[in-house]
Amino acid sequence: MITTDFNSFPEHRTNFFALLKSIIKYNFQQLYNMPEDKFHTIMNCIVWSIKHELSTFSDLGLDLLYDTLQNLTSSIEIMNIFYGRYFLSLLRDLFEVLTDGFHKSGFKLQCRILFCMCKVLTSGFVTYFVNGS
Amino acid sequence: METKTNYIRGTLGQNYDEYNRILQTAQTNPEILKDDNVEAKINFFLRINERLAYSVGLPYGSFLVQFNDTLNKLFIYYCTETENQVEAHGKLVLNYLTVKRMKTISKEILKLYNTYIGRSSISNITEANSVIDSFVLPLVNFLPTFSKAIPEVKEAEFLNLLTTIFEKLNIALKPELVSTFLSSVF
Repeated sequence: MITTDFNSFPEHRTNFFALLKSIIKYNFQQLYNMPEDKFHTIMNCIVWSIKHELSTFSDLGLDLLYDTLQNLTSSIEIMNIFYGRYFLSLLRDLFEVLTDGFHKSGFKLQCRILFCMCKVLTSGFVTYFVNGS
Repeated sequence: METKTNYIRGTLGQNYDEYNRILQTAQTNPEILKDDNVEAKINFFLRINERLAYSVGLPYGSFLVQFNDTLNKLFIYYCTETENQVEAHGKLVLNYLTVKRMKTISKEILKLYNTYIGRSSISNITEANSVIDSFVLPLVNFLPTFSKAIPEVKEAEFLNLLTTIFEKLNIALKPELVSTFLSSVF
């Protein structure tokens, strides 16, 4: 109901992202254990919010993505699966908001996320890119 | 605990008796719940309770547990009625005062739970379990109503309530319960 545009149902939108934030913070494991298509929907929600024109939502989206990446560090296996699925698309989306000029308010967090992703590549923990694709 | 319950009961005075009378009549004649005057009384009762929950916090649960079952039934009744009205006459009815009143009651019920859980200072797993057993588990009955509803009828307060539940009761929430809530939202 909130993916068709950026403006409808503002109250639902705000509450939905607050809910997503609390799930990522407290119940990330259950979130990750959800069926693949549903987890994919959640990741799409996060990416979608990063691209939102209002800085309130785009900064919240960056926060959510950063928390998600931080939660992944608990398991190398989960890291491998997650980055195998989302690394390239996340990198593309991140560069999109970094360079479009509309999301300057999130520059600091965008760089932090980029740093996180580069660190994953150089850490050697994620072997998917070498073995998997 | 009993003294606190009696004190809260005393504060509500005849509003609680009035609420019980309305619900008893509604068992034989559910149409009474659509009456303007009755809706206003229920709304007033809920708002007083929300303020009580805000001030009293966790001990308010001993009073809420006496009528939370009826609150849940009211929530489902008003949500279903709103859905029926929209199905019969289109989304335009959402601007009518009669439908707005029904939506207000649903919202107030969610707000009451949200305030109670949010204001409860839960310090150990026993208290958290008691809140989950008494108030969170029955909320599972709301999920089909929420997930089936059309976007305009879905209450944003429900998402707020879930946020509060995840934040305040995370020490005792079972993974299965979290998954059940998540699957209704996504």
